[in-house]
Amino acid sequence: MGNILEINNVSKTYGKTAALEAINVSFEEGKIYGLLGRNGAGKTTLLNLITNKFEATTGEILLGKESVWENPNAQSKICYMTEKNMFPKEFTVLQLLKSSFDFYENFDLEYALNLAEQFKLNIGKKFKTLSKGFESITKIIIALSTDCPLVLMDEPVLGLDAAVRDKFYRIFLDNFARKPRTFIISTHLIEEVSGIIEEAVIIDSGRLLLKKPVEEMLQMGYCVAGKSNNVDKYAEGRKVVHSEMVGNFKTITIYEPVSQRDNQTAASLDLEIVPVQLQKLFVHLTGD
Amino acid sequence: MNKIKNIVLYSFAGWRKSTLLLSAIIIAIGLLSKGLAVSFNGSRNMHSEFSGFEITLGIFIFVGFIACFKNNFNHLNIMGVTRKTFFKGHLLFIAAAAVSMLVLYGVLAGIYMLAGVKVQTLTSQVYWNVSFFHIIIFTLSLFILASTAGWLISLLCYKYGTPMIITLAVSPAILLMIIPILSNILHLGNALWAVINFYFALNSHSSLLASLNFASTAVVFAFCSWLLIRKLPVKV
Amino acid sequence: MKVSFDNEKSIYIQIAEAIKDDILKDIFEEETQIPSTTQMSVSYRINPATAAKGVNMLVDEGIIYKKRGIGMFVASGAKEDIRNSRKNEFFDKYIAAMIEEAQKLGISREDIIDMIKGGEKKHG
Repeated sequence: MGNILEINNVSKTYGKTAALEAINVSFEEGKIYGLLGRNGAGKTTLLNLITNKFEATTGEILLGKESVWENPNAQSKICYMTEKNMFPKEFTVLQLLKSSFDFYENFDLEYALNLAEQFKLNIGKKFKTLSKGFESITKIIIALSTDCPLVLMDEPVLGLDAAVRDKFYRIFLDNFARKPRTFIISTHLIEEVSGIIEEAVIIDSGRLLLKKPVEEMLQMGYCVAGKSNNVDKYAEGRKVVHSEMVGNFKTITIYEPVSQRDNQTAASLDLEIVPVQLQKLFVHLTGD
Repeated sequence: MNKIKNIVLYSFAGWRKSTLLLSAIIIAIGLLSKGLAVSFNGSRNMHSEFSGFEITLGIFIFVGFIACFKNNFNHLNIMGVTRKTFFKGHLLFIAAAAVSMLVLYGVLAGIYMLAGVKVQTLTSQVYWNVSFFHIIIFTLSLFILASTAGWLISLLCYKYGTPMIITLAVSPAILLMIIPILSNILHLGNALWAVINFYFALNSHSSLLASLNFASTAVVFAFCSWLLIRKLPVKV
Repeated sequence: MKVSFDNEKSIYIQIAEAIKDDILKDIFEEETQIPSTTQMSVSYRINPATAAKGVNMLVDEGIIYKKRGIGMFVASGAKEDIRNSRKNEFFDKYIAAMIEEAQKLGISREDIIDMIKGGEKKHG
């Protein structure tokens, strides 16, 4: 499938500080992406550039083959669930849903009202009086009810408890199955989305660090655990990015793909090989 | 364009409550002034008079445009509306708001006259040879000037934040102090008056000339607004 | 279909194995339909592409086949195939591991045989 979004050499600077530096990345149609990065890495800046909030200092962002900047056609195909509140203060939830219906072509108002009911969201309430969790739910409902081919979500589960998060992920996947399109989910809860996203895009200090399918990313490293002196023997000459010791039991994370021979070596030293978690890999990759 | 129509409708929606409140207050004042005139003079023939409609509605429009920008701009951006579309919609809204306010003016004046309060228009008080047509042109251009001025100020405040708000709040006082001093030092007194006389057409007493001046200023303000909004970053 | 994900293996492999388990247990009988990748995606909160990858693995192995526009079905003979391949794995996965563990613990060959006999009695 083709690319829906291409980010070509995009930088954004504020005065002298660079929020994004020479980002080159593209997103395919019909995939769920995770946009991962530490606080202040530039995730939200990138989403803001895609959605016409401000202009990139250099480079261009293309939706299809058209630049997104000040382009009504491109912008009508993107839906952005911001983390911050951008809605008029006085609007009720119902008014917000109706305004989305007025401005987005093919906004499914019936589906939106149905979701509101499923999440027990009181649509008569003013948006500004909602709790953090219900604010997120309102924004989620709007994003899922459009049929924009590109949907961006910034911290979608902010303020949601575990049960509601679970419900959200199920409704989200059901929605994705019904209307496959490109989702870019920016989040800190990496382990929680690691099964849901197909590819991860990691940004660190304004630069693109990595873009890979999650499955492949998890093959990039592995953990070895066992008796500490045996682990040390195994570690010799390998790229160890992290080690942890409890008593005489040591676990190390190696940033190399595991081979058949590694398996044999580990077995001979009475060591156990376990896959690395995305969250841990992320911490190593973006660590100081 | 469906989007532009929606922008105008949403902008109007934000004004509904305050417009109703303003109308209620104006009607109440009218009835009260009539009541006072009657009770003080004991006769229904004593006239009470009102001539502040243009200024009252003009200030209302000015303040209204200052207040509505941020909400509209942020909301419409998140709905995928570009700055250019937003600007077009807002221009259309300015025209529609000016006409609506003119109609409201007519309705309120009608209610006053029914209640027996005499209504004077600003146009006929200041200018000569004023017809119904002149009144409409003058009032419309005044309203449009008020809206573009309010809009420009709200844009400046949105873009530059608190420092601009303080500057704008303090500047009338400072100007009022500085201008007389400057005109004394530089002997600008006559020139200043000449400018004011020309702008408001006080010498020629031609309402059309004043209307033209207002309208041209509005065009300049609208153009400045476009320059400001063209690449305006959305405050997130 | 029951999957309790662990971190030992890739998710798609675990999906494939869960389907195989259910075929062995006759939960999915031969020539009957299995859940769609969408259903699996929603139930297990995983990306549909991951579910599809697991299912495609079984398609390649000839255990599942696709009926265009209808869904995915268990192939006839699938149960037998799975049983045979599991038997092959049985030695590596259980016997070899058991012998290794027994050596660590100092359990003799005879003791292991006794334990197996005792275990068989318990399970009837």
